[in-house]
Amino acid sequence: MKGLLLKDAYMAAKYCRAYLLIVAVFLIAAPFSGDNLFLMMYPCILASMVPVNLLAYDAQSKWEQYAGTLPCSRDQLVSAKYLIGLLSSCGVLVVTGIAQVIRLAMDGDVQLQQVGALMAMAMITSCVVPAITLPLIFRFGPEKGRILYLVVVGMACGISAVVSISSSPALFPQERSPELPVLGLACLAAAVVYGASWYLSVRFYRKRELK
Amino acid sequence: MNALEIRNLSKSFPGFSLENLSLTLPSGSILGLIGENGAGKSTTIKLILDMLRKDSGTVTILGRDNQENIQLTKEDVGVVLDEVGIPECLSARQVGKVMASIFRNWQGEVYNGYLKSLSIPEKKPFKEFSRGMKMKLGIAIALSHDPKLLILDEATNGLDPVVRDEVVELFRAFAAEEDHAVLISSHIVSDLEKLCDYIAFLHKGRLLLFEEKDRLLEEYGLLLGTPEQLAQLPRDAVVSQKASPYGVEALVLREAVPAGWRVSPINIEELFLFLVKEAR
Repeated sequence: MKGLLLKDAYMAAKYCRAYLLIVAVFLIAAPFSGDNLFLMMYPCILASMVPVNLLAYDAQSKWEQYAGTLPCSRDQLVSAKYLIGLLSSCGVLVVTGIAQVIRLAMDGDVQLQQVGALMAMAMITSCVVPAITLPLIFRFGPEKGRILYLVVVGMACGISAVVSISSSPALFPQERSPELPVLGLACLAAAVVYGASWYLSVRFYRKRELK
Repeated sequence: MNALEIRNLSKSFPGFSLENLSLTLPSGSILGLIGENGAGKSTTIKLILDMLRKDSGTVTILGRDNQENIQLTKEDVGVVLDEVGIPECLSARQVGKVMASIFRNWQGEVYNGYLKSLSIPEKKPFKEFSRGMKMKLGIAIALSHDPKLLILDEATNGLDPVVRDEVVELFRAFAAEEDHAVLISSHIVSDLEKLCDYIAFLHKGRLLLFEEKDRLLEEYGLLLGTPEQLAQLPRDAVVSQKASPYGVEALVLREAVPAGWRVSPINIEELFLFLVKEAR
């Protein structure tokens, strides 16, 4: 597993370098854009794309077949992608959290509940988007799976843009922010969905023939 | 001990099926799997490694069934596929670090030794490698974790003669150890003729022949004559025949040919072509 993660880390460092720049631009812009949810969520969506992109590069280099000859189980091959997704999402979540605190501080109104609500939304986005798409990729292969992924990401971006516009002037004012236990439950649900997605991917990939 | 035993292995795809394949590869020897493109060589190798699910039959690698903890068995198997499969952005040095965490028996010094002796650049990304260089890196990886069995799928195809000679020498040195064995597939018969102890001919998913190479060369011969001359031979002597500008060429069983006939030696490539023609 360590070797698989190392290989993915090398690949992410090479192929996803541009993401860091995009994330940085979005997060710098976020504090100056008022309540624009899209600017906050897009880096999370981008982070969730890391394992999807790595799978596409794996397919291009025929790594999938080569990995089938190595002493790695199918479960490990799937788990490595979920872990690398989790690690990149966690990194972006931390940076997103900091950016949001800065934004709220600039407004002079840092509320724990408000920050919590925004972070919960970011976490749910980070978990749910790959949770839907990764099993599709492990079931149908990177080519078809990637198309399905783009459909899901497009929908997520569209929804966040619509929500962002319709929730003006403030996305989560104190009086409308969900209670922290509710947020906690929502995050837990997202984590469960991510776990269930991993289980499903493992089941699909165990049956996959590495032609 | 047999390094590899395949019994009645079958697998069907739409438009292709591998039928009841049985092969045995004793330790200390090299088995060449010969067949045209689409004959089932890669399918056989992927079934051995459990990358494809078999329909029926058994595969035993180094005494262990391939359905029982194949992950552990793969620690002792070095594999080189036709397209190698290393991620394009990785350098040989990075690949070494990755493999060190994947194989329990990874021998970093052996790997570095191969990088040097095969002149493989350490820092260059894999995508910038030539075909020969890619193959050499695949072979270096396959040989650097103390494998007992090497499985090579078209590993010599597309290599220039110098590199091909170099890698063939590596395989020969590997198989010189008593507990080592090599299964190598190719449609370039001349490579395998030099290297192999056993030869298996595959054609459209069927095993045409499986025999020790030296025995094949002893058993079969080539006979040139007119159709009338060949008609005088016992029926069981002629395996296959084809018209040539000089008469008729026939693949014959030397033992069944009566004394007095001039039977020429045959090489593996000619034998394969005759057998495929007969199978068609």
